[in-house]
Amino acid sequence: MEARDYPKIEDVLRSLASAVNAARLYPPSSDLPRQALDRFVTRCNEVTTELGTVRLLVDPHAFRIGETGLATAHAQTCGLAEGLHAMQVGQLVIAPSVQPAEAAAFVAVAGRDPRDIRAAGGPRTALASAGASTIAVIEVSLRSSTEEGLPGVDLINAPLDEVAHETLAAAARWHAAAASEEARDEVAAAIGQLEQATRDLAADRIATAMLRLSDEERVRILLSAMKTDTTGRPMRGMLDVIARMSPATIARLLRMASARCGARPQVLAMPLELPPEVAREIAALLAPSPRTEAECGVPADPEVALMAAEALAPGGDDELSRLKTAAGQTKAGKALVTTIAVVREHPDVDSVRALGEALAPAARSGALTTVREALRTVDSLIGDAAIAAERDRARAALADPEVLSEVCHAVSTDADAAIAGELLSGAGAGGAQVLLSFYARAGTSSRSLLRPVLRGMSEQVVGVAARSLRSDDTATALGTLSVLPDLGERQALPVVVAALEHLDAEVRRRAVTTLADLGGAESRRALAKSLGHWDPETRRWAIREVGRARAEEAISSLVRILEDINVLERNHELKKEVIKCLEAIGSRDALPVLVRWSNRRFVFGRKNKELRFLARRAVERLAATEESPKESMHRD
Amino acid sequence: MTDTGHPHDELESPSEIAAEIAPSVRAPFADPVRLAKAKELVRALAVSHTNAGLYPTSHPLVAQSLSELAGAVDDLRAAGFRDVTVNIYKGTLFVENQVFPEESVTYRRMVEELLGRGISALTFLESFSETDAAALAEVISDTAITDIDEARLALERRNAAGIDIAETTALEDTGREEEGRENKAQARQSYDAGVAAMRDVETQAKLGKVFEVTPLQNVVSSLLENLFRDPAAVLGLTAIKGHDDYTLNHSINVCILSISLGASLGLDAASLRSLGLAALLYDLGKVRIPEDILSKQGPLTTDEWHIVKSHAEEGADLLKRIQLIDQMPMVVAYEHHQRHDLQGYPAPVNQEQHLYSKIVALCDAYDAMTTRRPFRREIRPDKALAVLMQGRGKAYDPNITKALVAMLGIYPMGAVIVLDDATTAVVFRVNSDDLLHPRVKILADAAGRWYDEPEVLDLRLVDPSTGQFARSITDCIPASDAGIDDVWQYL
Repeated sequence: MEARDYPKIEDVLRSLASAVNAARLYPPSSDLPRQALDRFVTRCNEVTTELGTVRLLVDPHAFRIGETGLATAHAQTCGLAEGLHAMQVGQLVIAPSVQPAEAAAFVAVAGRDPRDIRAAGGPRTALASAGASTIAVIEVSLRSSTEEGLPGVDLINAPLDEVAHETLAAAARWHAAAASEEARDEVAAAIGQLEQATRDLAADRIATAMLRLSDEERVRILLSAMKTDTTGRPMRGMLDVIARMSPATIARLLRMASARCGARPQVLAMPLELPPEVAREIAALLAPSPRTEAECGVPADPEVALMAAEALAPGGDDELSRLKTAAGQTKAGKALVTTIAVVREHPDVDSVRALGEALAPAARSGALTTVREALRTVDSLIGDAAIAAERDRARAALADPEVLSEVCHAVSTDADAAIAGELLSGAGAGGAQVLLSFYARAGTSSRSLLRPVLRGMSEQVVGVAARSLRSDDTATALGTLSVLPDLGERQALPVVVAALEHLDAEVRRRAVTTLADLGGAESRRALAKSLGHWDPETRRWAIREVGRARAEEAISSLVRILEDINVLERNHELKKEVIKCLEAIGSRDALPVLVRWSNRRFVFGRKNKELRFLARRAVERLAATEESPKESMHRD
Repeated sequence: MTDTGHPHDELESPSEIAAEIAPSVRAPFADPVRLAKAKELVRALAVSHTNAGLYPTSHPLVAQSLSELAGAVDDLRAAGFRDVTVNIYKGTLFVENQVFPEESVTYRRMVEELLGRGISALTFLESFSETDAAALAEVISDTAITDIDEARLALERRNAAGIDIAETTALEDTGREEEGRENKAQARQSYDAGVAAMRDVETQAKLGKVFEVTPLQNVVSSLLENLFRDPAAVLGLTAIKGHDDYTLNHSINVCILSISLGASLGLDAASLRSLGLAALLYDLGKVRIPEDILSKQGPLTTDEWHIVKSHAEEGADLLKRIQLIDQMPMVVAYEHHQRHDLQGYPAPVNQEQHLYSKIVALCDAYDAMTTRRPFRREIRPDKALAVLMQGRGKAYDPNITKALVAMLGIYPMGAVIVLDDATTAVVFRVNSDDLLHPRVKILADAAGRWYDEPEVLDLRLVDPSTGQFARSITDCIPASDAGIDDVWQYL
């Protein structure tokens, strides 16, 4: 047969495998098995008519012609080869003119359990008795010699089922002979005749083969092997093979044998020569449980259907989501809580060091209550110098500006402001610096939360603010000035006054505004004083802010500016501001000078006319205020 | 079926992959509304098939059934899915991985005709329309079309671009098996490396020395890598029960269970690494407890119990100075016995257990119960899970317990079961949509004869003649009772 014909044979094999599988998978009422069988018969007869009788070798996993495997990628065909091999089929022969009944007989045999087929005399007998003559099988037998029984079997290559079958028979023969004579240990003989190198392999194969037998048969083998012959020996070869089984298998076998013969399994185990670790394991498996399941609170009969339904029932996602979110947020706090517990249990240097390491992350995460507790715990430790040093280091860890900034942030969310104050103030000037910077950038709501902390640390913050205004850049200085009103007039005033001398005009202007914002008498006095500032821009700004703050302390200075009429001086803008400021202050003390300005009859130029107009308007308003002070107060 | 929110081909980060194995995604039909819609799809498909076979294409009944089929697909799309696959496996109908036992029987003719043409999967794509429905109905009821290739051509001729038909080829199965074996081997390597690393850590800790954490971190990373590639390969490792090295195996098992559970809850990769390390080290405090107390068979005296309980604080003490990615190992070591209701030890300071502690406590309890100990035999998995479910809201967080059961199934991987025909099998995959009917490998027949090659069986399969599940579980037994020492080899 040429290699080019192989695909046709593969096609036949595929259709045969499909027919076998269809017979297995579908009920007799289905048309599919019959259709598959018809397809096989048709294709088979086409091919065998063309090629003649086909003879195929049956390997464990494929059909072969010579060295060439056929349809090896087709799982069903390989499965068929495997099944036939398990029946000890060595060759499959298909002649032309296969009849549907013969094909059906083959399909029926191929679909049966290999053990049943072998037990019934083998596949060849089964096919012959079903009347198949155009499809035949050639069985193989792997005998190592012509000797009867297990010693005649090739223990290395023979199918495990054959080894199992012979092992069972060998045990039965021992059992029969032991009572009356010196029995022959066929297992020992079969293994003993092999080369040393293959004895372990052979013994393991027998042990594996025994698993192909039923529980009942294995028990029978064990009990037979334990029976002593007339010389007082058990079937040692067999017992040695059994000892090669896995501990759980041996324990199970002993339990079943015990149930059969009534002897305790531990007693039955005694003739087995087991390695110590295996013997220990088997003893553990055989020993009764010190505690029963009921004692351990295990239900005797779990309601599995209910459990499955509950496990797959929807719900709980929100809670899981909360847990996941909290898992990330609470890590650092949890670590600190645990470290505190460890410190209390083991108050040593390592514990304090661990606590120090846990402090900063916890503070960053906003676990401020825990941080305070940690500090109190560590402060309460009475220890040697090493502990004291670690304690200082732990506290120092909290002085990290980044950590302190996070503390401020935590307060602006939800943490306890008092604890934050404690931590910031514990960090000294560093804490004040961080607080000042954070506060300068914070929004209104955060500021209101942080205000108590700021006021609590006002002395430290003022010191830092003064330094900042002396040395820092414009933006920082402006931020610092925005914080100062919240410290209160008494603390802030000196710093703000100092800021009037800042090199940057923008800072000086903000300092003036801040003085107006402070609102107290001292501040107003300082504001009035600023009307004499060396910088005209600052002066003008001060006039405006005096008006906004209604600082009456400044009226005399303002009046002086207005009275100073010098035709050569072009300070209309300044005078405009002064008039507006006096109007805003609304004091009668300003009336005389304003009236003078409003009564000037001869004025030249647009700007002077504007000043007169503003003065008249101011006078009218002041007069109106005087007439109805209540209304004026109300308007204020 | 592809959820529109999580297209597989766009997955990138571990958290997205983790989300993919979250129970809600793995069981898309847990929601009764979605389930009803999937059933309607199967019904509409079968009715279209029948009507197309009985009436001419112009008949109003045909038009109506096609419209219903297109509508059923649209409904599922509206329920959040992009495409829907109807599978036929061993004569049983599935929509994705959801089995439909009754429909498998009711619509047997359609199933047989599809299988007769070698079609075992129909995928309704996003663009599926009434025209595609008409083409599909015509093709599957046309007796002249005998195989899948002809069916494909016929669909193409009819311009049916919204439907895909497929067969499960042996080649694909082989490829998957090969990949699975490789994943299993790699996962085992990680496991063994974990045991070795934990042995070193334990030795160092017993000697009072500071130990290296990097090898443990590598173990966790390796397990996670494997978990993202093949979750079953990693979860299956927990079937390994070392009785001699109980502590070591137990800590690796708890680590695997914890990261698997964490992934199913949707934790990101960084959190899973932290959780994994915590789960490896949570019981380290036991190195400071005398061995004779730990392995005592009888009940403990009050003093002994007090000593045993101190292992939580001792563990935290051991871990306090180790340079870790975070301090969660110390926290979990301290909290893992505090219980969900805070009635445990050490006395909680009125704070909720951390999520990681809850996860580790649950996984610790499950693995400990299912392992034989000197003072009691192993408890079979379904009973162990029942104990955990009973403890919901008390010892264990109720939602995390539910998630654990949904992840493991009632009969988890490695559970040894007896089927109603008295055969013995081992669970090798859990069906997330049906926790009571896993996929199993039948190892031995009713008489106790072991098969050469285990027979693979999906217990969701239905007997077409009865409409009932073909096989069902009658008992779950400890592996050793079945004569199995190492269940992992069968997974």
